[in-house]
Amino acid sequence: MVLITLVSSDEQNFPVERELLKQSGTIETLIVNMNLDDEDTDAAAMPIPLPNVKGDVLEKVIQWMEHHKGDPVKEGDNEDNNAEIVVPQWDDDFFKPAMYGSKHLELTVAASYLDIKNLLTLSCKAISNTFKGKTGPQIREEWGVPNEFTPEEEEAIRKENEWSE
Amino acid sequence: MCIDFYPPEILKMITDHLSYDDHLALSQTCRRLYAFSPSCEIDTLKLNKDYPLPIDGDNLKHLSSILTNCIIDKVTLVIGKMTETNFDEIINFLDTVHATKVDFVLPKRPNLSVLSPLLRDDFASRLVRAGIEEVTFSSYRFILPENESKEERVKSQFVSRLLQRLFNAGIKNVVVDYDGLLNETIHNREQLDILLKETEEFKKPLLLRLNFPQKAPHNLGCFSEDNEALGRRVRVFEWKNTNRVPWSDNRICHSITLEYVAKDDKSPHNTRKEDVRIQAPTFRQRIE
Repeated sequence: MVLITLVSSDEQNFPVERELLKQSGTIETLIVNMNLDDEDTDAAAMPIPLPNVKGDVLEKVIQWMEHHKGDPVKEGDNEDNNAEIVVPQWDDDFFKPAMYGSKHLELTVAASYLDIKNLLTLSCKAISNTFKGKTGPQIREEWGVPNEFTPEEEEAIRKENEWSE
Repeated sequence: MCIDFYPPEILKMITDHLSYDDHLALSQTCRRLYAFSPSCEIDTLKLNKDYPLPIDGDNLKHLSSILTNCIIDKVTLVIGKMTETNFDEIINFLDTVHATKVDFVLPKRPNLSVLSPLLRDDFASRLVRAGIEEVTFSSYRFILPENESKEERVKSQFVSRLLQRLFNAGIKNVVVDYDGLLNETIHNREQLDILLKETEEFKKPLLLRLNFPQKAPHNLGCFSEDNEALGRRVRVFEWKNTNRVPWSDNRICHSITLEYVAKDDKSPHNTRKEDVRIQAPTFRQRIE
């Protein structure tokens, strides 16, 4: 089993199975371009620095990739926006503990940076699910967002959108 | 932790999964997400066919500027309190984007003053000058107070007056959702016959399509009969409204199409040779 070491922004090393990393477009490109696949060269032993991903986030990303090992990897951006995406129960449980905090934001941004399309799609879908059927104030309360609007602005917004009520 | 810390490209992916109502609720949580607040200018605009743009401040001017040299065949406008004020800009906008079709979505439970832009003397002529050929009036639920007969009478006159002005100005096609300009409670032959009879007085070739929702009676053909003397034929189609609009579900609609075919050379319809065909399931007009 070939292991490739990922190095997080806080200098933590994560030896990861080569096969798992095929889920990350960014890392896969790097491996191919730098011949890190070639066990006969010194490059194979070269760790891959990920300066935009902290250790605890990278650990979560690897955990997610391990669970989804063998899943088909999305290619390109030709996603059908009309297709209904269902977040599987395992992923829902995986995202939920950090959903309203900065950790989920960091995980989603990492998925984007590492180009892990399935993780990014499911993460975004899980977030959007938290908004469904909620009002603006309910979303604010759930996400702990302070109300920036003055009563006058709120009234103006209400009037502006009353046609759709 | 605020939702608006998410980078724009990720916010876009999140909101792509939302319905219009959920999108609207999310936009009201904080300033950044309220993308089109009255005081802000358009910075980044994602044009989504399902997502309307309130016309506030200079938004329409900015939009016109962004879309200069673009061609947008059909523009959907929601009539509101600001429509009258923005009328000139709206016409200029339609002209700028070379629109040929405009869909006016009527608000729910409006008073007639909100509809005043439609009653302007220059409404139809300016639409024609801007290049508009087809006008649609639609609404998910356009309901005036039921027990006010005066309102009803005014509204009935309003509809025929509006149609007359549009056709006289040169609009080729008018499409009316029955829930739009007409009251959804007047699904009866007498009311519809009155309206159809009034169309005879236009004395012009016209193409008027009335769309009925599924709940309308199935024997729509008997609502009004052909008028051989005038050359009017009434056709009934059934079609599925597949346009995805945020305020309406897909609906099976019945469509009554009035088709005018001039009978002889002296007919007032025979002032020009023209053959206009529009793909089924819409309608066809033939003038010879």
